[in-house]
Amino acid sequence: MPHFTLPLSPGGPQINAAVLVSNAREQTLQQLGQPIPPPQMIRALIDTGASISAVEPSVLTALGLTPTGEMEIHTPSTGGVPVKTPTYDVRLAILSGRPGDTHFISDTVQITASSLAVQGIQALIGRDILARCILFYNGADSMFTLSY
Amino acid sequence: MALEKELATYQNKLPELKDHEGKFILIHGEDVVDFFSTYEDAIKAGYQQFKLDPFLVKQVHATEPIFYISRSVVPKKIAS
Repeated sequence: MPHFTLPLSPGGPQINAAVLVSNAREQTLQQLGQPIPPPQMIRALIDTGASISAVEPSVLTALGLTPTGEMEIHTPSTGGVPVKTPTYDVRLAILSGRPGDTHFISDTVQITASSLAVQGIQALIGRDILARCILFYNGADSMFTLSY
Repeated sequence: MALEKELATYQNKLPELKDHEGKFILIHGEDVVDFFSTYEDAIKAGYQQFKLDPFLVKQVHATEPIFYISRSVVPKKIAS
């Protein structure tokens, strides 16, 4: 099972990742002769408190995405009630940072858009993606391991 | 608003969708196109049939599930 181990940052278990248009959207863009937006390189926090993953809206804008779904989401900012939020289909690659390693890649994943940049990150990797991984949080040694 | 028509179609059709609980529905305009076992398959079908036109993929639930993010983030809202 591929895995990598990284030190915990002051903000928690953070990783480098790339957000791309989904495979299906990329094929459609190719058929229509339209340019494929380049991958958006981001910094993401692994967040077991998120039941759904979220990406900074500007990243989705850079990919030229429009919503393909919606869901109800509840956060401390929503005043105690859930709000309807658009969802987007993307391809997500979690990068270990070591050349030659096998990256975690999900060709089509449903994500929400949430403003995060003020927190120094552009995405939250939630339990929807962690459901396909093993996360080992080694606080005693200040590191974490992700297997996928 | 993006997907306004498709979301209205979903709400209107929801009482008829009990047999499709948990499946992923593909809606284009006022048309329920098909149901799929996975999100990925529904998205693929949406792009194959409608290219870059708006389409909705949504998991069918009689009671809408609520997703949680415990961190203080500001989710993008669907304008009403």
